[in-house]
Parts: sequence; structure tokens; C-alpha cells
Amino acid sequence: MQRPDKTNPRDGDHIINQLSIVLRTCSLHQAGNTALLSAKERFRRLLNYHIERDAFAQIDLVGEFFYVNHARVRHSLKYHQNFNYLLTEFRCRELGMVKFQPDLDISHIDMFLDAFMGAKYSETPFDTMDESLVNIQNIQIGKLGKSQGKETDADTRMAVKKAYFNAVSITKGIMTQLKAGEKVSMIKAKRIVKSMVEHLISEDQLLIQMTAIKDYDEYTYHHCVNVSVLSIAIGQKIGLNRTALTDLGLAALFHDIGKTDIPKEVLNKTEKFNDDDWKIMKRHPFYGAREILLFKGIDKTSIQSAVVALQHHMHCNLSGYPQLKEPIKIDFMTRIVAIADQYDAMTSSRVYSRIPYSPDRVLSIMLNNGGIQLDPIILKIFVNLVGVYPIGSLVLMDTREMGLVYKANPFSSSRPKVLIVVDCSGNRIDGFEVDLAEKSNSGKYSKTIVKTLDPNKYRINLAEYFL
Amino acid sequence: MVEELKNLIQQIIKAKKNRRLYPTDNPIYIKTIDDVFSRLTSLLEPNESLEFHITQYDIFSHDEVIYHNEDKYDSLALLLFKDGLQKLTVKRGIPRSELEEFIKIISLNFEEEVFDDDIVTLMWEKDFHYIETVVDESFLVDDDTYEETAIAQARESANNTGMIMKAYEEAFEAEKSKETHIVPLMKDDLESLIQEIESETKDKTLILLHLLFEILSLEETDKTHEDTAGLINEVLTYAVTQGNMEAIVLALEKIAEGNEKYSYSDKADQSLESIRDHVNSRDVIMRFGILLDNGMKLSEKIIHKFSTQLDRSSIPHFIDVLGELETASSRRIVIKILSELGKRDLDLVLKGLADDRWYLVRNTIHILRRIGDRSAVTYIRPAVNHPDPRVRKEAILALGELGQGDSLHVLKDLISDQDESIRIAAIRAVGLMGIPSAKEVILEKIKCNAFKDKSFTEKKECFHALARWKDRDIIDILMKIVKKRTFFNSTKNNEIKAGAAYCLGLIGAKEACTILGKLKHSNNRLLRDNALKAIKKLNYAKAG
Repeated sequence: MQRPDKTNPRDGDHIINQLSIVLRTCSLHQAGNTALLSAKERFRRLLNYHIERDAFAQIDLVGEFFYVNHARVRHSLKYHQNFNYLLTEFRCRELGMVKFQPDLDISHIDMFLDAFMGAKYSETPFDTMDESLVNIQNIQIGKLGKSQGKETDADTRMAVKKAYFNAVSITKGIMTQLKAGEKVSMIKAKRIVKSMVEHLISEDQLLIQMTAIKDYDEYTYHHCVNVSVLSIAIGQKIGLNRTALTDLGLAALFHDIGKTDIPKEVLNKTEKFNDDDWKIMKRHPFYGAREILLFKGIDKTSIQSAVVALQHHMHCNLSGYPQLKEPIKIDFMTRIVAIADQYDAMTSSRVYSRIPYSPDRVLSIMLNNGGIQLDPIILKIFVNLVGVYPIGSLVLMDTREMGLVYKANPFSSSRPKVLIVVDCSGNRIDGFEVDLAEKSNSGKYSKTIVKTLDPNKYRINLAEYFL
Repeated sequence: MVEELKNLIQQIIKAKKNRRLYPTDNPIYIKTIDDVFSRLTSLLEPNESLEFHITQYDIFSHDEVIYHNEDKYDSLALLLFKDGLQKLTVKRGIPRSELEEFIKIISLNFEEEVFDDDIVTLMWEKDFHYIETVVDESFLVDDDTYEETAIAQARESANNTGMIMKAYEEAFEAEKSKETHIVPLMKDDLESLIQEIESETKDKTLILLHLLFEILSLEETDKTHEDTAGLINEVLTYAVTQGNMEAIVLALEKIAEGNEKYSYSDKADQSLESIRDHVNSRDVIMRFGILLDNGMKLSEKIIHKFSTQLDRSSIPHFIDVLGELETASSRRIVIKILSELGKRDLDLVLKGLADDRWYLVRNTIHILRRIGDRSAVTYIRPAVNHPDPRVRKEAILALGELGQGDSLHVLKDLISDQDESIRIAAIRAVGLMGIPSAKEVILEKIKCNAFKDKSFTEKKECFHALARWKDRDIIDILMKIVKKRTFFNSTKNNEIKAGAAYCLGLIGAKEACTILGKLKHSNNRLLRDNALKAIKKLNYAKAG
């Protein structure tokens, strides 16, 4: 058999997928079953490829990502269900790491499987599993949440913040240069998108959190970066590779660049747009495409970005603008950007729409538009990404505490992490993080959201809590 | 260790230089890479990884300088440093392919060529597993204070406006939240998404063109028409450079569809004209030629669509390209295009006959043959006296195909030309004419005493030409030749008999079966072979 290319990131996909297959088969069949035997054998072979190369094969679960021999495994749509299955199985056993070492044979795999399956209904699943494996020298396990060698939360938060503001600053620079008719370099823009992709790959929630803060003066630049972040996050969930994510991020960053050509008196108009204003405003997709093609020069990336700029207001049913005489299917990347654009725009206060909608209300409006204006499948992915209560939602818990949604929970969309800002006695507090997925000793959830309020109505400034 | 690391860096620099000098399959380059790889692997044997810290002019490892160079153009440290690279870590187990990719990236000529990406982005896109980097992004930002100012401003706004306690008071009176129900991703959703991603073309040129043509029909001002047409032209130039002829065909089709579909304004019509002019321009056609010579593959369908949609104004450019092309396959495509396009303006094609280059004249005549317009004969006729025999032959064949009786006298003279290849071409051309007077010219040649002294190739060409008529008198003459008993079975006589036998086969003269059956046992190999071929033809015709 041909040894797989070790530089191929899909290697990790195979191992995660195969372990999931083994576990599923194991739960259905008896030990001697042929399907189970062959699944185990394939799993052992995949492990051995890594062991031969690195002297070990280690699977880590950090956040919602698997790592195989410290390389993050790209989320793949092909294996989506198996990945999610394995995530759930690892989490319910509090399993964060399993390391296989040389001289691994099928009997070791069997012992691992026995320990894994046996721990499922234990009250202390990790400890049960650990005890079962205590005599097996070449398999080690680690508890969930104890990842080693990772940056501290504070460091990561600082780096993410830096990347976000760098992106805004560079976007501002590019737009200003374009307006002044100056030459613009794409290198910086790509570097910054690369940096955002990198952060989203390793910890998507922090950068998404940054997009929830809407209280900056320069809406246009923040909006561009926010749409880029949210688009990359969707693309990452879909399983696009790094290059495609970079192209998507760039296209999203420049989707509104045509607004630099819209006269200020229209762009900054505080009253409702009249027909003439709309006529001018509706030209920005074309201006955007033109700017992109002119400043970047024509290549595959700029063509992709120009298509996104031209189509991002067209809607899936082509009811938007510009209106087409000959129908054409909206481009895949445009459909992603359109969702990110609509979400960020509606949750922001813009010049012509001072009062934004609350994140949960926006989601419900978008879901009503799913399939009409927006791609229904990509929208599902987006909702799964941001959760039922997106970051920035103001929520009241059944414990009479009030909080702000801080991080989405990929496994339970209605149980995000929340920053408590008012305690149960009605005292304003500095804010501490609680995980709504946590259960009390009685096995019940400690806190549950009962009401959502519009944070904009009360002018709640997320910057105070998130920055 | 430090010495070994110093040597390793020097070897990497050597590999970088060789990567620029030699192709990747060159043994010198392969040897350099092998050397870097073996040094690196042996250094990694006792170590999990090697760390290289990069400053402006130095590379450090284990706190020692292992490389120093201040040369602006030559320093490896500066090359990496200028893009913000601060640390490189190479891990044990690095495969040769990853090392080679790294060398490839650092060997790019960033000084002279323009790239969209710097070293950091290029390395990142490769998704290296064994080479890790620590990068400083701060130098990308012109305004160092941006983050600080934005945060301060956002916080200030928070202090002034937050009404969290009011929210808390009102929360208990508010309605219970309606939970948004998330529909889980179903298998069908995933499959349709996967299908979509897999079928996604990376090149979106066609979509962009489609949209730009739509914009052209929507826009109202001259300026935007001009701008849109300008963009379309730029995209088309890019498309032709990439060999995306579908894009060119799409543009031409859109222009042709014109008002029927899009109801363009008069101003937009002018813009369409400018796009049409661009596609038919020398610049675009020349780029197309370069691509052809570089081996671009085109389907018959695209060639056909392209040539039928082009304007006659492109003919001179295609003729110029034809004169420049280096490969036979690309010339064939351009000839095919000109053969279609030339039907719309023969005069423009005829200009190719005046060129100094013999091959262009020959190819022009070939195109005229394919166009099949008899009015070209007058212009082709002088070419039978062209100094180059290859041109003469092409002209002779053209006269045979296109000329009527009025060119026969020219060909008749050429049948007696001193150059055998010209005589053969003339015989073939006379045969192609197919008129009775042409048959007489061939018969006259065969009956002539000097005929037996001609080469077998020339003799056979005469009989081949004669086969065109399939007349009774021709069969009689041929039968007489094959039956003729000669006292001396000389080679020359047998050549004539072999040619006649071959011709009987081509005509399908069944009455020749008996005599051909005898001739297939002849001692003369030529006669035997040609009789056999003729029998096969007759049998094939009978079976068919």
C-alpha cells in the first residue's frame, strides 16, 4: 500500500474519520464481526503511518478541533457527521487526548475500545477509562481541557485583538489610498486576511467576538473586516482550504469597496434615501468590481472578488440589485459573503439606519429569508456557527442574572458561554464567565436563558466587556 | 553543532541560487537539495527541532550567529526579516518535499518580479507541517496607534451610554424569548454542498463577463459605458492570456446577441463596438498565437465558434500570426480559423500572397484552397512560378482544385517541368480538375514515349489521376496495358503495367479480375504487389 503524503493535511481527516467508524461499528456489532475487524485494521494502519514517522500517533481535542500529532485537522464536510460524532463521544468521556505509541497491534486497539465503550455510562468516565488502560504501556490518555503548549487565553486574546484592529487599519488605509487614486499593494491585505484565517482556524470564537462590538466611529472599515471574519468562519465550517479561505476573506474584505466612489452626501445621509439616492447607491457593486480589477490587476483572485462585489446585493432569487436580464446562479462565495454582510449590517448602527436589530432578531429575520434572499444551507451553517443566541445578545437567565453572550457553543446552540453583568440580587457586577452547558450535581443545567433583550435599546456597549 | 548549522545555512543559500539557475530535474540542483536535506536530517537526529532566530542581517541559533550578511540584495536574513519573519523552527521528520517547497519560495525573485504574496503568506499557504514560523505583523500597519484609539473611543462611548440596570429592571416585564429553532444540517444538505464545492470552477471569468455585459445594458451614462467596456476588454485580455477562449467566445456571442436580448442603448452599442474591436485587435490575436505555440489545446467546437464570431478585420492579424507561429499544430488551427474567416473577405486573405516569406505564401494558398472560392485563381496562378518549389506545388494543387479549363494550359506546361515534384503536383492537379480535356492531358502523357523513362512515383501519379474518370475507354486502355506482352520483361514496362493494374483497382473494373489474378504471380515484385492491391480493392468493393 502506498504511504500517504505526510504533507497532506487530509491525513488527519482519515484518522479521525476512521476512529469514528470504528466506534460506530463497535457499538453495533460483536467483537468478531468482519466489518468491525476491517475497520479496526484500517485504523491501526493509519495510526502506524504516523507512529513510523513521528514515533507516536496522538489525537488531541482542543475546543472543537481535533489535532493529529499536533497538526490541526481541517474540518471536512465529507466527514462532518463522523467528526461531530467523535467530538460528542470524546466530550462525554472528558477525553482530551489519546496517544498511541510503537508496537501497536489489534489487541491494544481492542483494549482501548473496551475502555472507551465501558466508560460511557460511568459518572467519572475519564477516570474509569484511565483505570482500564493503566496496564497498557503504549496507549496514554489525557483529560479534556488540559492542552499543553498552547498560548494562554490572555495572549491569544491580545493577538486576536491585534489582528482585528490591524485588519481595520489596513482596510482603512487601502480605501483611503483608493479614494486618493493612489496605488495599492495587495500584499498587506493578504497578510492580514491570512492572519485572520489563522486565528479563525485555531480559535474562531474570539475573532467573531470582535465583530460583535459595534461602537466604533468608522463603521465602513469595521463592517468590511467583520464581513471578512464571518465569511471566513463560515468557509472554515464548510471545510474550505487555506487558499480558498484567503480568497474568500479578501473578497469579503473588499465587497463594499465600491462605496468609496459614492458621494459622501449620499453615503452619510441621515434621512431616508430617496429614489435618486438609491439609484446612486445601487451602483456601488459595479464601482467595487471596477476598483478591485483596477487596483489589484486582473487575476483569478481579483476576478473572484469582483464577482462577489458585483453580486453581494443580488439575492439568491435575484430580487436584489443589479437586476439581471439573463438569470445567473449566484456564485458560491458570494452567497457566503451575502449572509455575513446582511448579519453584520443589520446588527450595526449605520448612518441611514440608526437603530440596529438585536443579534437574535437578525437571525430570525435571516432565517425567514433563507431560500429567498439567502442560501438556506449556508444559512444553516451560519446559524450553527453563531448559535441561537449570537455573541453580543443580552440575556436574562432563570437565576435572575443578566448577561451578555460571550462565546457560542458549537454543540448546543442554546447554551452559549455568558458574561454575567447583573447578579441575581440585581447588582451590577464586573462580569464573570459562565458556561450554560454546565450541569449541577443533580444533572440539571445550572442556568438557562429565559429572555432576550435588545442590547441596542439599552445602548449596551459590548466594548466595555469584550475589549 | 554551530559549525554544522553555519554550513547548513550556506548550503540552503547554494540551493536557493541553484533553484534559480537550473530546472528542478537538473542533477546539479537535485544534488544540492539532497545535500541540504541530509545535513538537516542529521542535525535533527539528536534534536526534536532546530530554531533559527532572524534579525535584520543575522540568523541566530543556540544564541550564536550562524549567518551574517548586510548585502541588500543577497542577505538571506534580510530577505526573511523584511516580511516580518522572526523565527523559523524546523521539526524532526521534515520530508524532502517540504524542504524543496521552502527553497522554492525563498528562491523567488522578489526584487525583479511582482508577486501578490510575500514569503510569509506563501509559506503559510503551503501549510507546512514541519516548518513553523513566528511572524511580526505590526510593520504592516501604518498607524501604530489605531488599535489604542479605536478601543479608547469605543470604551468612552460605553461609559456615556450604557443603561444596563434599566435593561435589568425591564427584563422581568418583557415577553419570554422565542427560541430560534436551528434546523440541523442533513445528509442531503452536506452532499449538495460538497457537490457544489467540487464542481466550483476556480476561474470565475465567465461569470464576471456575464455580469459586466448585464451592467453595460443597465448603465445610462457615457462614462460608465466606457468604464464597463474598458473593464470587459481588460478581462478579455487576461482571458486570452490564460487560454480561456471560452471567455472570448462568450463575449463575441454577447455582442452578436446584442439588442435582441439586452436592448442596449445607442451609447452602449458604441461600447460593444469597442469590445468587438478589442477582441479582433492585433494585440489579442497575437496573444492567442503565443498561446497556441505554447501548446494550448482547443476543442473543435471552440475553434469553430471563435472563427465564426470573429470579424473580418482580424484577418490581417491572423495572417501576421501565421507568419510568426513556430509549431505545425498551431499553424493548423490558425489556418482553420482563416479558412472560415476568409470567406467574409477574400481580398484580405489574398494579401498574404504578397509576403516575402515562402511559407506564409504557401499557407495562404492552402487557406484559399480550403475557402474554395474560384475567384482566387487569378491571384494564385502567378505563384506557380514562385522561386520556392513548395509554394509552386501548393499553387498547382490550388489551380487543380479551384481552376477550370482556363488553368489547364498552365498545368499542362508544368507536367513537363524539369522538377519531378512539380510534375507530380501538376499531374495530381490536372486529375483534380476532372474535366474531359484534363483526361486527354493525362492520356497524352501516358502515351508519350518518354513516359516509360519516368520514375514509378510519377507513373503511378498519372494512373492515380486517370482513375478519376472511370470511363469505358480508360478501362480499355488500362486493360490493354496490363495484357500487353512484351518480349523483354523490362523494369520500365513492368512499372507501367503495375501503375495500370493499380488504377484498375481504383476504378473498380471487375473485368480485370482474371488478368490481375495472373499478375499477382508475376516474378516482378512491383507488378505483383500492385496487382494484389488492386484485387483487394476489387474484392472490398464487391463485399461493400
